[in-house]
Formats: sequence, C-alpha cells, structure tokens
Amino acid sequence: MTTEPKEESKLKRLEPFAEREIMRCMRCGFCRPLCPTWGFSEWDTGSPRGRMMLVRGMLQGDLEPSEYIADRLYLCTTCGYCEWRCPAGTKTVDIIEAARADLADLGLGRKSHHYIEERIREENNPLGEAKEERTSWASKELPQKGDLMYFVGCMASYREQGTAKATLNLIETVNPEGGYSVIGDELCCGSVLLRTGHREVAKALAEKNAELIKKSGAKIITTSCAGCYRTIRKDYELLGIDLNGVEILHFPELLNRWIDEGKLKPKNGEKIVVTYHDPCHLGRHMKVYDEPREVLKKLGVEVREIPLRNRETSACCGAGGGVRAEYKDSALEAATERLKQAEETGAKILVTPCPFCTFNLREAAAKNNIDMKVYDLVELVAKICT
Amino acid sequence: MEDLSMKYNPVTPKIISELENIVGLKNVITRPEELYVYSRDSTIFEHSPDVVVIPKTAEQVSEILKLANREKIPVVPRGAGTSASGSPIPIMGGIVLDMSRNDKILEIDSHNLTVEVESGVVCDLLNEELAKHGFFFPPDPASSPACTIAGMVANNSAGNMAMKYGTTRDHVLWLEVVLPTGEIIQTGSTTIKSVSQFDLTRLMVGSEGQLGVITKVGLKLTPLPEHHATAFFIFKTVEDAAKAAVRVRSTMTTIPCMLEFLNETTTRAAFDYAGLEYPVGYTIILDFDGAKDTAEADLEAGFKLCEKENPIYKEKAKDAAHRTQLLTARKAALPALARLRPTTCMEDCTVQITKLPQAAKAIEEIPARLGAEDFMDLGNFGHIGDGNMHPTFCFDERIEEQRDVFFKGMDILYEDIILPLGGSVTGEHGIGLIRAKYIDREHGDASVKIMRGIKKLFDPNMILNPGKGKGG
Repeated sequence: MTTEPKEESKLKRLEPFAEREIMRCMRCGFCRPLCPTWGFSEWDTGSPRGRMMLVRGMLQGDLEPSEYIADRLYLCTTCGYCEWRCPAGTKTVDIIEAARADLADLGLGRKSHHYIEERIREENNPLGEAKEERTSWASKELPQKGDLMYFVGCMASYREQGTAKATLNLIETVNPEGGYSVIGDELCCGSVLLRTGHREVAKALAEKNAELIKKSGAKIITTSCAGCYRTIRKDYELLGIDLNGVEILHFPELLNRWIDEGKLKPKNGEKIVVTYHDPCHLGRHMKVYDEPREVLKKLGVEVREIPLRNRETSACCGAGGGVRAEYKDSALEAATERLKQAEETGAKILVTPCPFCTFNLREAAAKNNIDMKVYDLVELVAKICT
Repeated sequence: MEDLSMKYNPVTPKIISELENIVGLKNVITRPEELYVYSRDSTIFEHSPDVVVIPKTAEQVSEILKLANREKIPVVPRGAGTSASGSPIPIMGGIVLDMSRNDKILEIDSHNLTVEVESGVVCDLLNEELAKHGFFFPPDPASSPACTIAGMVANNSAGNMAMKYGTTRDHVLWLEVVLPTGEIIQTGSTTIKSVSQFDLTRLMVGSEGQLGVITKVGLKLTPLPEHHATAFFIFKTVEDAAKAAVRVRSTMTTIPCMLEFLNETTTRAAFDYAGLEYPVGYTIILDFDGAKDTAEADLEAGFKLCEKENPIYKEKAKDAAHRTQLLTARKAALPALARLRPTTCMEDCTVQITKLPQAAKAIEEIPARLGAEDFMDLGNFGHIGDGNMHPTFCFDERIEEQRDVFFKGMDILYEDIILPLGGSVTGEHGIGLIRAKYIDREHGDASVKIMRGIKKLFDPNMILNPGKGKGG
C-alpha cells in the first residue's frame, strides 16, 4: 500500500495551537463587549470570539485563508483584553500573531506592514525617517557607554521627541556625573514586526540590538516606550536572544526607584490633576500597573482613575498591533472612545507612559476637539522635577 | 417531530436584494467566513445560515419577517450567541437576525423604578450603569459579561441569585415584540400592576425566539443591597453537601442570596486553576445580602446549619476582598473544567431541593455507568439552593465515539435521573436544539399539543427559529 506524502501545512505557526488552545474557546463571548474593535465592527468577526472561530475554521480546513480573514485578523490591536477576560485562558494574542505570521507567508499580509518592513530594512525604523537623524532630538553628543542604557525607541526618536528629551533630562538630573548611554545606532526593537507577523526581520533586529546593548556595557536598560519594553523584556527571550542578565525596566519603574531613593523630588507644589491611561503592552501584557501611578502620586499629582476601565479593564488607545498603520480611522475611533471615557473623570490632562499611545490619543483629541491635554508621563514628571 | 426541512424555500439573490433594501447594503452579509462564525453558539452543534442581517429598528424587523413569512424562509433571532442549548443555531439555514448591535439603554427612570433598553444591551454593562443610580438587575447568569437582555428574556435566564430575586421573568414589565407575521406589539404595561390581558409578557419570556423577535424591553429596578455576608464549606461527600443545602433552605426563614455548589471534579479543577489551597471535596458557598447586621446574623445561622453536616473545611469572608477570594472557586468552575478536555458541554437540570442528595449522587455516577472514565470527566456545579445543577461533560467532540457517549450521558441524566425524580430538563438554559426530545415526557402529550398550538397561532408558517424549543 502506498501513502500519499502528507501535504505541508500552510499554517505552520498556528498548528501548535490547534490541539488545545483553539479548542479552549467556548465561544462564551466574554471577550466581545469591551474589545476595542468590536465597538466599530458590524459582524462577529470583528470580535475576538469571531477571530478565534476564523482561526479554528482555517485549522480544521473549513475555511481557506483569504483576504477577508486576513483583514479581520489584522484589525485586532493585540491589546490583550480578550486574553485577560477569557475564562478558559485562551492565548488569543499569541494565536492572532501566529495566524498573522502564517498569513503574511501566504502573501496575505497588509501592504502597510510590508512598507514598514522595507523601511526598517533601509532606515532601521518603521517611519521611514533617516537613520542618521535618530538622535536629532538631542542637543548634544550622547554618551555611548555606561551602566544605564536608555533605549529610546522609534516613536520617541522621531515623532514624540518630547518624550525622549524629558527622559534624558530626568536621567541627567539623577546622574549628573554621567554613567548612561543613548546609542545612536539603535534599531527598531522589532515590536511592530512581531505583532504583524514579520518575524524573521524582527529576529535580526533583536540580534543586532543585543550586540549594541552588550557593547554599551549596560547593566540596566530602560525605555520610555511600552511596546519596546514588552518586546525587549519578553519577546527577545522568546526569540532566544541572550542579554547577559541585563535588568530591563520601563522608565517609570526606574523613576519610582529613584523617588524612593530620594534622587528625584518635585520642584514646585503646583496642584496637578490627571487621569491615567494604561498602555496595553505595559499593563495587560507585562502587568506593570502600579509603578507609573506610584510615581505620579509620590510627586503629589492627583490621579483620577477612569471609572471601570482602568488597569486590567483599561480600553486600548487603538494604535497597537499594526492597526494605526493599516486602519488609521479605526485607531482614531478607538482613541476617541478612550478619551470620552477619560472625560468622565473630570480631569483635563491624560498621561500615559507610552509615546505611541500619546501620539494616537493626542491626534484623536485634536481631530474631535476633545478638551483633554495628552502627555507622556515622563514629560509631566520632567516638568515637576526639573 | 414533523420534518420541517421540506417546508422552506431557499434564500435567493432576489431575497438578498430585498433584505438589502430593508436594512441597507452594509447590514446584510453572505460571506462564507461570517456565515461560519454565525453557525455556532457555545454547544457542539453547528449549521450555517444563508445570510446574516442586522436590523436597526422594529420596523425593519417587521419588514424582514413579512418577507420571510411570505417566502417561507426560516429566521433565527440571535443575541450574543452565548446559548448553551443550541437555540441560535440556524439548523434549517435561512436568515439570522443579529440583534446585538441595538445596544442602547434608552431610559433609567429612578422614580418609577424602571429601565427601558434595546434588545442588545449586555447584562453586565446594564448593571454598570444601574449601579451609578443605586440599582441593579438581579438575574446573574454566568454569561452576564456577554449575554444580551433580549437573549436573557428569550431564555428566561436566572443565575446565582434566582433563589432570592427570581428569574428574568420576574423583572420584565413589558416587551416590544415583532411577530412572525410582521405585526409589532407591546405586551404588558409600564405599570407595576396590570391584569388587563392574558399574560403575553410571561408567554414571551422563555419562548426561545419561537413566538416573536424582542426589540425592546422594560425592566423593573431593584435597589442594590447594602452588604453581602458569605461563607465557604467543603464536604467529604456529595450527599453531605446536598444535605447542608437542603438544611439551610428548609430550616431558615430568610432566603439566601446565593447557595452554590461544586462537585469534587469541579472543585479540584477550580482550585488548580485559581491556585487555591483548600482541601478538595464538595464545595458549598452560602451568601446572604441586605442590611449589614441582618445579613451577618443570617449567615451565622446558616453557618451553624451547614456545620451539622460535618464539613471538612469552613470559612467566613472577613471583608469584600476575602469574599471575592472565596467566590473565585465558583467563578472558576466552568473555565477550570474547560481546561480538562478539548470540549466542555454544560447541561442544565432542576429538581426539588429535597431530591437534591439523590440527584447529585446519581449524576456523579454517570461516567462509570457509561464506562467512560478514561476519556470523560463530569463536572457538576450550580445553584443548588434552588435545585438547579449544571452537570458538565468534558470530552473531545472531534472523536465520534466520544460524541455518542456524550449523547448517551445526556439520556441518562434527563431520562434516568431527572425526570423520574419529577425534575425539569432545563432550569435556565432553555430547550433549544438539545433538549427537545425530552419535553414530551416531562410535560405529556396534551401540554405539548397546546404549546405547539400556541406556536402555530403566532407563527402559522413556522418560520421563526424552527426545529427547536417548546414549539418544535
């Protein structure tokens, strides 16, 4: 008897999830009401439950991978609310990212994400800005070696330079003698590529960044970007990148430490009232909820929580997971919804420790004439302490 | 049951075009990927519709139903699709009406203690809003984070607090309903009392989308209780746990807010899942609500009654955080079971509370009777205080033999255990697709004939959610 050679699966990255993870989804729909994309979708495939059904359909051979399925899966911001909410513990974010990697291999990736990959290959950043200009936000030459490395990230380097300046300002305030580095050759951390299924290039970036980190002599890496933080702290390890035990901190974690050590103090007693937005990659993905709030409170800032939508139940700003690049209107719609929730606090300032959230929320506020100033948390801290 | 499949006509391009004229192009979809997603609820059954439509008004629903009635096309209303009975699965194809996008809370009237909502408002989101005014809508099914109010009405959903606060039925004042023939009616009254009609509201509640499509709901408001007093017990045997529940219910003059149960399989899975370190056994959770002193005094009395059945572990909640911790095991029941095997099928049955010890013990023995201990786990948990349990079969639906054993297990549960004890084959999930075969035996030919007659009166062409529920 002869047997036909088994056809190689088109869904190599998804296959490992087929046996248990996908089956875990009981279609209970708990993930649906607060999913940021469900709010502006018509059909059930705009919800995490629907997306899990699409993935299941592809794995079982009931559905062929298609442009339509790719569109539905790429609309997800990978905010992780569904994963947190899932009573059965389905790893929805990992499944979505694996599905995207398979779809991208099948030529069903999004055009804007391919452009991002090209720009990163050419200029080391997804924005297409010149790599030589990466530290143009700094008014002086930056040290290349030190115990503390500030990993700036692409958004702070090119779009939200106030974040980069404020972070450096605070680092210098605490470390007047130096001992820190900001690497001009820093490359994109790879987050957007990992989220959108372009894994090979992301791994190459991670390897090169790891070399730079080692060369800098850093014992601590800090970044003011939630996406970079998740990627360097979590994904690099998953990619097999060895950072020689370097401690990785989100900048507010370091700020919190410095305040406790008495190295950073408020300069004035101005009463500031803010509301706080949890970036998904910092909160639900990495479970960093307390430190940014602690920093603000210790500096005398009144933090008003967004009712019922804070910490684990925080709503996504809408930008992540490659969504802003491909579906800008959707990203801004989610951000507008988030700002409306923030308005319920009565605060006129929203702070968030992520330049990408800041960028998207700020644009949504301007576009919709919403009376809410949006700042990166470090900008506010720099204003209070320096 | 009569074969309905030959009665219906296909959904043609002309019908699609007419649907698009009624609700607009973007509210009609026939893409296979979407139809696939709408082919299932949380059961193991599946069947694709021919088209999914999102109507935005009762008038649009009316036009769709007139069209479907004229053309003899099945129509299945769907809320959030969280059903555990197969009710929203379009087994004859046809049109699925996705009612979940009509999700506005129209008016909270804190003077007349009523709230008016559209069909697709999610239960938990309604309660978030009501809490701001000091009220709540007490029915609390496990699906409350997702299920819609009209879905709850159609199923007469209940949940943890039904023993004290009743089921959805007890909170509905009036309904706006579109009949299968297209008429839009309002049942009931905005007044608390009204006996000026046959009780069409109560007829509609629990009708599983077979008599009409619910487009608006008027609910009563209930003030939020000041305090909850909670305790947690673990017993060595299922009989001890069930006897403790019976003792509380039949001795105390105060009705607990919650009296919940987890069998040993569910308790073990829940403790593993939630990282709780208690002795494994049969769990009872007892809760009283009301004024603080009263609730605490009631709990003390209930605690002493439960102690008489010799629990191997007992603990009272010291504060709200501790209460949340004690309730973790109950909340983790279903997800914890879902981790045991690829498929989790939750059943639904009720008996009088005095029959609980016997029923709960017999349910424990089902896997052994099936010879299925190697590939099937049987969880059991639920609202033991009102005799409502959810035996939950954990197996692998992809293996034909295991599916067959599951169906045999259902027969044992309902035909050999629940019905001989005078119980009901569903307490809160509905008949749907999976329990229709048992209703003749539970209710008898004459009652079933009346129910089918009612269905025929409302829906002469049998277009609405055919092949399911009480109307066949």
